[in-house]
Formats: sequence, C-alpha cells, structure tokens
Amino acid sequence: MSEIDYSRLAALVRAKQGSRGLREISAEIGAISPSTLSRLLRDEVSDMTNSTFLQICDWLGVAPDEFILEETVESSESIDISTPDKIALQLRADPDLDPTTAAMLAEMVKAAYQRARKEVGR
Amino acid sequence: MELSFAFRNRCESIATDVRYELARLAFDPLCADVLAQHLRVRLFRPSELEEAPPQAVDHLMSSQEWSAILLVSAGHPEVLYNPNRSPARTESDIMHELGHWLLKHSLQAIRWHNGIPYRDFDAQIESEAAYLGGALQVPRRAILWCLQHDIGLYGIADRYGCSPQMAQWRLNASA
Repeated sequence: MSEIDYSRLAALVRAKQGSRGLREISAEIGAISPSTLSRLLRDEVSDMTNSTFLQICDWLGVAPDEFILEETVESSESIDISTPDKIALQLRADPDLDPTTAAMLAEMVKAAYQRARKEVGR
Repeated sequence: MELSFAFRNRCESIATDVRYELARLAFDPLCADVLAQHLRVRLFRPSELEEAPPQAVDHLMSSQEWSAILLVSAGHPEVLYNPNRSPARTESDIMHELGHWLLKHSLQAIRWHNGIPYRDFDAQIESEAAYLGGALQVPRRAILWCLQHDIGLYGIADRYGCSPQMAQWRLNASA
C-alpha cells in the first residue's frame, strides 16, 4: 500500500525539471541525491524519508497533502519528532505563508535552536 | 472565531496584571519590547542570528509576507520578528506572540497520514492569541480611559502605538 502518490510527485518534478539535468535539480531541492531523484523520475520509488519528501514539496511549491493517497489517523505521541521539525510542519500548514517563506522560516527556527543549545551548553 | 466572555475577561485581567507588575496603571501604554523583557522573552530579527543560513536571512529580511514566530527551547522563549513591517504592525505582531506565550499555547498534536506528519492550521489558538495581543496593546481599561478623556480613534492609535484598525477593533471589543 502506497501512502504517497509518488507517480504524481514524479510527474510534477519532471514538469518543473524541464530540460535541466538531475544534478542541477537535486542540488536545487537539497536533501536528495541525483540517484534517488533518478529513481523517483523513473517511478521506481516506493518509500522516501519525510524530510526528503517535504523538501521536494517545498521546491515544487505544493502542499504535502496534495500527494497523500489515503488517510490514517495515528497517535503523534508514539513517534518522536523534534521541536524544530514540529514548528517547520506548523509553518508549512499556515495558509498565509508561501512555501519558500515557510521553508526559510523553518531554517531560521533550526538555527535558533542551535543557538539555544550552544547557550545552554555554556 | 467566537471567544467566550470568560476568556475575553481573562485577557483583560492579564493585560492589567502585567501593567501592575511593571508598576504601571491599568490604562497606561505598554510597548512590546518592555513586556517581552519583563516576561524574559528574547526578541530578535533574522539578521541577528549568526547561525542562520545567509539565504534564509536575505529572504526574510526583504519579505513582508511573514510577521513573527514564538520559539521555546529548553523552556527559554524567544520571538523572531519581521523588522520590515510598520512600527504599529511590529508591535501587534510581537504582542500576538507574547499572547501565545502567556496563554501557554504549546505546539499542537501532529496529525499523521500513513507515516507522514503534518498538522492543520489552528484557527482557535490564533484567535485567542490575537485577542490577548490586542488586549495587551490596548486594554479595555485604556479604551474606557480614552473615552472619558475624549481621545478619539487616531489619538488612541498614537498613544498606544497601534494602527487605527487595531484601535477600532479594540473600541468595538470594549463596547
């Protein structure tokens, strides 16, 4: 059973890729190697890390739920997720933020937490 | 989004309490940076975070799209705010985030779709923080004081460092 519509994801990536090479696109997206990208575009991907999937969504400027095939509500308490990632997810869910600004804010959040950890460590 | 009478009264009490803690009167103006310092909430703009990626700093320092965000790490709260907005807008942006902190809004439970985590934007929480932020900036007691002293809409905006729209909203809320 596939959770994400990787075929649709691949189709949108191909559309945005145009005539550009895999290395250029993977560098633009970040968090995905050219080889994984190649498998995605050949419809050979059936699993992907959350961060890679969300990074591709940011690059496409498309909300993640556009690619969800089936809905299953699970408890969030059984799965560990860091606070910066939670905030990043909140930012992506904000209807008033475009994906690029949400992604940049998510980077700022991670950096702020890095600073806080350094200061606590002193 | 409808907020209960009890909740709105609670917000007005909070606005009064923080002023008393700062040895001010209930209808005195209160700047967001003063309140933040009192609450030990650090305020910073993107350019002040050395660890931030340059492209994120550049994008956020030139964007009007975002307002502010509250971060809490190891119990230490801080607010990242957008310095590109008007002074009145920045005040209300920061007060809104301080509202989240005072109301102890935590990150909401994440909703999962077959292993993919994300959440819906929570309108109720945003309404609550917006109301408290407005009350912190222009409490009901301040509106009453202004009316007693024949201070009109633009006078209220000037005295409390808010936009005329905020002043109108607070006038309506205090009616």
